[in-house]
Amino acid sequence: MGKRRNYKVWHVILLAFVFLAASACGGNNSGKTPEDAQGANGGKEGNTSDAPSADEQTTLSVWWFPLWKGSDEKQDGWVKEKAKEFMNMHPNVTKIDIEMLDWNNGIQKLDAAIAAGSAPDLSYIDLAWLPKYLKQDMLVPIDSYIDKTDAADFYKSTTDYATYNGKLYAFPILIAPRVFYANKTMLEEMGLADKLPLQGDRAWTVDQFKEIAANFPYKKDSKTYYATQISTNQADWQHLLWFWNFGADLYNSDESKFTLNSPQGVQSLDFLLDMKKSGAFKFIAGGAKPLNFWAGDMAFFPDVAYTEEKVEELLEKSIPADKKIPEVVALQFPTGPDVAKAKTYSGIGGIPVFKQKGKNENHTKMAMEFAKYLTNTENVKAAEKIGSFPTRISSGDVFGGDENAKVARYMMQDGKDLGRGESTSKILISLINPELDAAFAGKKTSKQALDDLATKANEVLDGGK
Amino acid sequence: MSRTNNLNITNKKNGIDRKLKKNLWGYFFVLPEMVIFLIFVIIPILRGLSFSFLNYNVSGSTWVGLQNFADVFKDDIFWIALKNTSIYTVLVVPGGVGVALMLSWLIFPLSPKLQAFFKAAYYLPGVISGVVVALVWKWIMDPETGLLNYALSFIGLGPYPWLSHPDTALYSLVLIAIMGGQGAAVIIITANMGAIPASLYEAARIDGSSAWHQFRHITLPLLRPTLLYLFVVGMIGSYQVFESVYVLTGGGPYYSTTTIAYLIYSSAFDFFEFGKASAAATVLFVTIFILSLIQFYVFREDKK
Repeated sequence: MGKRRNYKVWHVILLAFVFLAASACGGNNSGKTPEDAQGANGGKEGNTSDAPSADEQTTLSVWWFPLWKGSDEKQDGWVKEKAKEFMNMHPNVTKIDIEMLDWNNGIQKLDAAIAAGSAPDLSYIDLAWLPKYLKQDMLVPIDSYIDKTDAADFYKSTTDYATYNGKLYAFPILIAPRVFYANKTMLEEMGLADKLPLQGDRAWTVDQFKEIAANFPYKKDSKTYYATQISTNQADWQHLLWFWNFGADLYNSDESKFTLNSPQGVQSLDFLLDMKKSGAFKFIAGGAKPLNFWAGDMAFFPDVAYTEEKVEELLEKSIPADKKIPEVVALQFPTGPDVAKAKTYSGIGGIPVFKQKGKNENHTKMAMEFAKYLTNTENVKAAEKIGSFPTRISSGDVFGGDENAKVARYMMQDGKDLGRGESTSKILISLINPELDAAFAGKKTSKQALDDLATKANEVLDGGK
Repeated sequence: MSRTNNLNITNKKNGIDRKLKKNLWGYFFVLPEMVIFLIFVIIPILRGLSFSFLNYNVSGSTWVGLQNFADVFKDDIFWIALKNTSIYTVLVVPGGVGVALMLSWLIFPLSPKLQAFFKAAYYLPGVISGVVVALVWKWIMDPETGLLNYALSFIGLGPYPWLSHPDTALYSLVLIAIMGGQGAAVIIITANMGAIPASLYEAARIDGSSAWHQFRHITLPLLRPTLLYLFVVGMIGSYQVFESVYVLTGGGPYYSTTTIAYLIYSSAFDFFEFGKASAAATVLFVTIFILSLIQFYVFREDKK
């Protein structure tokens, strides 16, 4: 009896201790509504009525990707230079901490930081991932921090991509459209270079492309070369360029319905399956190592529209020392039947400002000011260094007569995106590639795979609203 | 009666106090470890459990009751992940223990120096980070340039898309787990083989028993508690397989290597569905707990 009571006392003490510790450790927002928990800056959206003086000192944290180098030729050089300039203009910003992320796992690091409630004040991101952060209610709308004339100086397509429910959530900094590169030297060796559309606007059709692809795989010096590759590794999405250029779309106009299983979608997947079956396309799945176009592994590859100068740089870096540097040309994507004009993905990079708990309005304002500074007319011109397009109209044409830029500009007139709804990243990452895997592994026909995909995607769209 | 009870209680209390005083330094020394255990294990478990009842959002959460569990059970991918994880466990645990047993059987009769060499060789992959080991396997299993397909080409086989076909990817991960992760089991088994009295083998030899019979009727029965321990620990580890999936296949192709732990990670960090991820983690915890209880029950019955 006494023993049992003793146990009870110990149990009560232990449980009380554990629960006390648990609640002390992180019970700061459980049970609160998002509105309750928005913190000092979250819900004010630029309302400065109770804001402290603009002279109040603050520090900012910025997470940046290796986009372009500074005058010191270092990857973090540019953003550090800009931070220094900004602090000179705003002495109340005493420090800007810059952390460089890498392209392989930077976005995971950012996601983990956001999940842990320790997001930076601002970061560079691909705007395709905005919905994910909006779902977490982590972004501060920027409309109140930018005047209308200034906002109108961004190309409309870029601000449209960052606008949700009528509010703008990021400062666009670069447009990185894709073009279809061809290794002209390899095709010359194979006697096929004359089939490339190098005249005029470099437009061509899938049938013209097929004529060249029919000659692959190409074996030389015990190595196999492919026309191109299709990768379904994790979030790889570049195969969508084929679907788009066969006339298929991911969603209907209001993004309420998934439509990739249209007849054009099925036709596109049939084409890809034929290419894989014939051995012209290398299929990469399940984490397999992708081929490297820039190291000369294949004849064609969709990639960011680099300038001709940048292409040369890339080739010099990637081609093994004992091999000749090939000539690479940028083309439009081949278009399928009934598609008049080639389409490309107009990837847009931008800078959102993340909500911070316990930080005041002055802090948010300074974060906004720095994001605005990084994306002013002069600074966005830096995008040209990596062959990307600046997002401001006032920046003018930074590429002059660059042939690759011309090709990209032509296709950007009908640029596609990866979807803007809350659930689109889920559909992209967890549904599209697995169903394509099923088709490529011969487990489903094109129609079955795309119909199953549409059923699942529409379920997500219905539930995600 | 009540006086006797009171006396008993007082005596016991004094006994506890004495013990506490006597072992005070012991408690003092384990305190840091217990605090770390509490902060980094117990509290996260409790927090995870609480998240499974919330629509967790970084900037605020709302109570949703059992909705996250309903979402988990409604999700086809969860059932695929559970199936994959179960297949993986059913193959890896007996396969791994079997390989470790065979290796130990081969190593044990060797000289102490050779034994030490082989034990170290098999244990070494366990010292290296799992991610590094997985990257090495990624290279070995590369369909174009990998060592495995290259070796098979000499006997006219392959090339096989080890990690990139839905029919082979999960079994490739099983192969990697069995081939690469048995070092600790080899150490444990050989240590326990050393504890089996040599007189039993001598008696068997005198009775004309073959090496196989000695293994079958002496080694195996006396190693049973060790093997059951390895089964329990192996099962717990296998149900939580993550690193190799994350590095080698990303859960693909066609969900063929999506395991529960990978699904939890993906729900939480790809889609910020922390509530659903926590609910899946709770289901995983309960599954492992029940399976462990079953194994402990079998173990206890055998002991009797």
